[in-house]
Amino acid sequence: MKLTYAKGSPPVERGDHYFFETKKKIFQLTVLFLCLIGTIVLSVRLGTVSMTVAEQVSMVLQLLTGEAFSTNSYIVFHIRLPRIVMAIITGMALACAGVIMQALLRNPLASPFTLGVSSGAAFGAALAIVLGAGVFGINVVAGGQWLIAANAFIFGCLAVFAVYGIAQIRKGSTTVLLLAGVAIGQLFSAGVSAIQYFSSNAALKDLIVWLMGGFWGAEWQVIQFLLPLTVIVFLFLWKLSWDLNTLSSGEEVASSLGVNVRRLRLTALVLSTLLASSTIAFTGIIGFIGLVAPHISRMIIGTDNRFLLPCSCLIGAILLLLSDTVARTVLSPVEIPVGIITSLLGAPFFIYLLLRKQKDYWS
Amino acid sequence: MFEVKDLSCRRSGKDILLNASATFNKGDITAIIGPNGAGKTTLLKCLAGFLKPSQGEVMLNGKPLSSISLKDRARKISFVPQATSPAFPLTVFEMVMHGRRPYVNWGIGKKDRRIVTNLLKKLHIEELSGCFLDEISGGQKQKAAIARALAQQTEVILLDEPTSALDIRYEYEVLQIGRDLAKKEGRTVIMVLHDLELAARFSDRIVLVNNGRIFFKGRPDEVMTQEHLRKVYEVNTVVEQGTAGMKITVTSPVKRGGEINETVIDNS
Repeated sequence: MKLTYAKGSPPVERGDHYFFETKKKIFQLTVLFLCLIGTIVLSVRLGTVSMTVAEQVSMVLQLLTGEAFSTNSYIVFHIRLPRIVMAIITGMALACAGVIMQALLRNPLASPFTLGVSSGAAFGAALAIVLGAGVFGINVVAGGQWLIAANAFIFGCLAVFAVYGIAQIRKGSTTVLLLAGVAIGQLFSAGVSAIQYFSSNAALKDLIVWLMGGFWGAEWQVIQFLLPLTVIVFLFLWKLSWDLNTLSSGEEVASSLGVNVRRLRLTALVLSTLLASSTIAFTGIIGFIGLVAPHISRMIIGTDNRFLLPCSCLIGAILLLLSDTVARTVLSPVEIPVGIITSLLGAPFFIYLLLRKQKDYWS
Repeated sequence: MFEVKDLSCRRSGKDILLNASATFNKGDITAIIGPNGAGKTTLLKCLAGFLKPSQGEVMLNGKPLSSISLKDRARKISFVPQATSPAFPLTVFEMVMHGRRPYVNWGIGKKDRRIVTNLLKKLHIEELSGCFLDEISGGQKQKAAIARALAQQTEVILLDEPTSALDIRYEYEVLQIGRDLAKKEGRTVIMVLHDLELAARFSDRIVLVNNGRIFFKGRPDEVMTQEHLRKVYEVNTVVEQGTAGMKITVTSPVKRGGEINETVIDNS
């Protein structure tokens, strides 16, 4: 075989094709963003007190002109809107953590759940709820939210570091990482079960509510803390997109392409754990988003993390916001924990996607 | 110039490479051969900088490899792994574009797209550009992996068993690409090979590794002798000159515990 370079000024059809694909992806992201806006408008309208678009517009005017709030406006700005923003932040954080963990472990099963973040956080929260309720004799879910959150966060991180530590001892193979995640997850789940078994009735109710996940704790105060954190961590992780892309062909290839694989792994793992556990801490366990959103996004936009990460965040936000809106409205005025809805709607939808897809989005 | 000086590598308390020294010249294609577990891949991974040597240095143009930043190293040395699949589906174009990682920070420019397009043309896989890697054959995948390494525009190219699991047509094509990269473009090409006849036919120099040591190195006809093959591979062979290179036929295994001479003949 003879090797020849294309002579002269070569046409770049293939390259242009890639260019158009990139444009298409940006367009898809824009459409998804608009979908998110649409979902927000929809969820502001729906609820025990439903309102029309005209009312929504007048509310925005009230906010802008500084007029006194009507009752409906009060509901929207102090109850509904914080909850919507919280759902969006959580959806983004979980989906983003899912993408990062799947990329790092090169495994489609990886998610904040499989790496032990959720069970660690659950254990931390359980500890705070049960011991906190015992010590202070108050309803901790209402009063000691920050205590629960801090505990959930600490134990969520602890779980991942334990998993990472075990994997490091065994030379950091990704299979060991995943298996260690499952083992540590089981360990913490056993802890949660034990706490549930020995806790008092009042604490048990709080604990179960927390474990099911929901946005009852949504307050502007919490959002003020979570929103900047989520955005900053996301931007950091987004910046690692290229490195994560190269990792998909294996550690050696990534290393030969100039990526410090060890550092990448540690940084991305710490940041994604921070992202997932800080939101889980306030919302409780919300299943499935961290696993499903990345997969759906890969089917839409491909595997380039530069586009996959924002796409997955948008999908995660839309899915979780829709789920929460359903949770709020379907049995109104009774609310269902959103964790139940995400799994109940998410699982069949995901199975449908698995069956109809033309291509394996993992190997 | 690419060289290793007195290189040793220890892993889990065991020396898997001991006092290896070799020089790889520009424009030469070198094959590293040896029995299974001899240390061929370890040597290649030390050259690539994946493994830290316990002693000695890998030198690139007179500079120790450990003193070169990862990004700069990626612009000088590229690596083609044994056939692997990416964790998530990638198109051929995307995979080759990964080779531009050492040059791009975020956006992919016209120049990068042109480089990748031309490489695909050069390796005759441009029609596969939009295909996913799990839809193409092993040989085509291997070519795509070579294209990715070429997109790095490096002076040294390392290939780990580039022909494993390829049919004879792709085996030939891939090795010929390797040879052309050295001969026509003056790059340093180093590959680990199992097939002795192919190694003899396509390479300028051969490094024969045994038990973690470089047993012999030199021109193919100097290395591939009945005596060397008997000592290293423990087989009796007939080595003849065929129409297109050496022909090596194994006639019988050497009895174990017999008269195998473990001494190292190092001609450096």
